[in-house]
Amino acid sequence: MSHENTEYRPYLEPKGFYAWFWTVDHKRIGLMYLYAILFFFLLAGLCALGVRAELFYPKTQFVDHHGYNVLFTLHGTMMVFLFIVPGIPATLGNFLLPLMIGAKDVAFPRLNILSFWVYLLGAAVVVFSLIGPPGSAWLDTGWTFYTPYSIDSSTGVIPVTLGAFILGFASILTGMNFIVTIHKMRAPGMTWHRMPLFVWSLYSSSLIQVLATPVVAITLGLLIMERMLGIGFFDAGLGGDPILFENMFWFYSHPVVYIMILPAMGVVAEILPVFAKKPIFGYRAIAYSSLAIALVSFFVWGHHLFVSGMSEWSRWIFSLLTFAVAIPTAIKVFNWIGTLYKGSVLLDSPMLYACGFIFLFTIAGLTGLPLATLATDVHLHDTYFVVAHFHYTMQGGTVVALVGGLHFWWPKMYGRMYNETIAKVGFWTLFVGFNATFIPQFVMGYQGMPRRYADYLGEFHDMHFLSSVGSMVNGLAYFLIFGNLIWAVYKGKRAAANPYNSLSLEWQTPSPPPLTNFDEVPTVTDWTYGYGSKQA
Amino acid sequence: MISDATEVAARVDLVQIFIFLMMAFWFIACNAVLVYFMLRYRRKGPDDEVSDIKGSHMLEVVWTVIPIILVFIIFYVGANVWKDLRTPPEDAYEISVTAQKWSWSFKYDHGAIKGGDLFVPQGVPVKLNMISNDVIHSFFVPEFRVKEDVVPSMYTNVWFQAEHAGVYNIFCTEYCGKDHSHMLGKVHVLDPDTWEHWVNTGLMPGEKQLTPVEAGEALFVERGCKGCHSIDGTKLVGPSVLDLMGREEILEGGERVTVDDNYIMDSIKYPDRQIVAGYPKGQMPSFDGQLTNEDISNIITYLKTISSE
Ligand code: HEC
Ligand SMILES: [Cu+2]
Ligand SMILES: [Cu+2]
Repeated sequence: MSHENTEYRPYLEPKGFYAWFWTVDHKRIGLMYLYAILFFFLLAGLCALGVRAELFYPKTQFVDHHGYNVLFTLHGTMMVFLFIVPGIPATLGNFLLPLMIGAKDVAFPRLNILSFWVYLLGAAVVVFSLIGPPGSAWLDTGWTFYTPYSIDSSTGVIPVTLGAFILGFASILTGMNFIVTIHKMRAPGMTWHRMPLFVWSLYSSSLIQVLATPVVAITLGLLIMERMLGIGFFDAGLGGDPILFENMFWFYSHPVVYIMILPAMGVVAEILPVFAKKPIFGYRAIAYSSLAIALVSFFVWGHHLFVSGMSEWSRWIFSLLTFAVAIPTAIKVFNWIGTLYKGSVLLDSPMLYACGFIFLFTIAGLTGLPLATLATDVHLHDTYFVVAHFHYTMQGGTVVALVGGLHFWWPKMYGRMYNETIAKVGFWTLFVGFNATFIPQFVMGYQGMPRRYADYLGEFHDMHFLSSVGSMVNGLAYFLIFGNLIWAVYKGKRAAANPYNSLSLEWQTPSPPPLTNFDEVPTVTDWTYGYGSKQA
Repeated sequence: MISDATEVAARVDLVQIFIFLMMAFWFIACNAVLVYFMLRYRRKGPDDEVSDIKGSHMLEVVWTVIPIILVFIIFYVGANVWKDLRTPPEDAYEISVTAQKWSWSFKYDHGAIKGGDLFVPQGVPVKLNMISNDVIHSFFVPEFRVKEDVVPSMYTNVWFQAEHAGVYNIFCTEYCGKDHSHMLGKVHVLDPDTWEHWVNTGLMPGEKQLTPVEAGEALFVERGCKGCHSIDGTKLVGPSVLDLMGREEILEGGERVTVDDNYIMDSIKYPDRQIVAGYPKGQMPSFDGQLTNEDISNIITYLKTISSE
């Protein structure tokens, strides 16, 4: 490669396996994480299409009951542990955090690459324990591994928990790294209240990562003691209590939900002001509500146990606490919408994703209300209503934000532009397919259709059929979207350093950035969102 | 959309409608404003007049306080109705429920034990005391708006008072393995006369007494045996019962036994005593106490008829 300017070398070079696998550069690590999680997104997504294909009609079509149960277990486990938990922080977060605060790298670059290796190890452990040794039945416990079913079923819950535990370390390493980086590595003048909101959201979700993950380790410890020493913790046959497992599982897995969604909210808060050319509305309200959500997220796990046999008082208290999450969430939504007021709104693809996110996320949040309410949750619990609700948060929320973020920062990451028309078509295909998949699920869930059913009664056929048709469109959309992005990497138009006239630091350096991010350490004199101020 | 199956269900639905209206209002309010802003302030050119508003303390307070008040109201009405949904009256008629892969069994005051379907009197509060023999299940009757997990370590309960004679679905809603989706049943709500008749005879009006073979076959399906044991020779979770009687079986540990009536009875009541080689221990749940001796002998009679000749 020959550049006129010998000084400038984009971080994408040199190429080659070793140069990447042993790198300590946060941008390269971010990209490697991206390739890894998208690979599992593809696998887990295909499993979802398998599930929906089977459900086009009642009775058995393609897979028997066990096969169906294996499919939804693979789908859930890979989506949650291998795709969406590392998700935005490990990919966009790794790539952008140092750039956004004007640093050369994260605080501990070697821990950062260690995190990626640990992730690969954990992913391997999870995938191999899902499949099990040759000849054994594949894991069919669902991603929640409830005891005693998980312990009775032929394949082991212990290796999967071990995998989750190893992955947890990858997540703790990233989380610790981000927290220290944000505290210690900000460029001169980058005060807390000048930081981009994406950084605030990474800070909040890192706190959760560091605090919640050790609980998985404890759970694993108890499981092993139970199996090896016969101490009854979870096994009713030994005098244990299976509900304890549910409690411990959700004590970790509920906060994890916010590890997934907080960074997504951060992405949206970055896209909106740039494409509305306006300061973000209510900066502090948005920043602090991230912290509030992180805090409250630790006290609401019991809403997964409203019909589990937990004491009636606990149910009452957990319902009240769960409503507390609604407040900071609502505040964020109002402020995002307020950002557009009297702006100059450009509806290019990243902005479509950001606005699409708000639309879908209001549905996700509002359908949480009847699930937090005791009287109505009894009916809705473990039906398709819940399935639809959390897919609106996870896919409608996190995945839409991730994809929107990728469009937004793609020119920065690869120095190339994707085809805008195809990007828009991709967005609308996704939007239509996604809603077509999950709106019918709200309906049939309310009618009483339980989840995790390989077969169903005829009265639910219409809704299942619609949902399955929708899911195929939903799946197709991703091929369009990622096809376009991948095409851009090789054939896209060269992108300018700052194609959107953003004020954020990551845009004040060439696209793609050089290995050291900035030629000289930037000095910050104003907050990130000073748009529009000249006209007033 | 208001269920009239029970009085409490109707009140649950009122709460639901209240929440749905609230949801609809906020959904429309937020997105109407969003879409309006998207179109109204659409970029016309690079020199658009743009305001530099950074926020509003007043608005922040307003849109924090209003949602707080609203969610408190939702919580309160929800918790209130839920108290009634969860508190059975003192004088409720009690039925014992046992769940196991993949069937329900119901034991009544007068000694009857029935699998699959539940029979209850109309207009009488009914309380189900539930326990599981193996993994966690969940008892769900959508029409009654009741659901509660059925766990192996303790008794849980649900109650309802069905207002009309009729038939309602029972679903298992906690994932419990291969045939989770076939762990179904019906609640038959019987008017007082039919209930009398059913308690006395175990039959619905007009229903004929089954022959032992028919009764055995019905039990084999209702109790979920069929989910694990095929009658055509295919291997499912357990061995096929085709040509079972008189077959020479190799047990785990190498012992050989010839299948006879007692072996089958033992297999049904104490499945872990003798494990057929090549099959996992602990998969077949014990039916001890859930099938009467008559039931078991009917099943055995039925199994004798399943032969390839
Ligand atoms: C959850 C699956 C499951 C259910 C439900 C189940 N069984 Fe079994 N059954 C098994 C398994 C596995 C074995 C083999 C291991 C053993 O011997 O315990 C078995 C063994 C048997 C045997 C011994 C078969 C032989 O070849 O020696 C008989 C008889 C039997 N079951 C009858 C029944 C009857 C009758 C029912 C219903 C009332 C029933 N089973 C329900 C799983 C099940
Ligand atoms: Cu939760
Ligand atoms: Cu079940």
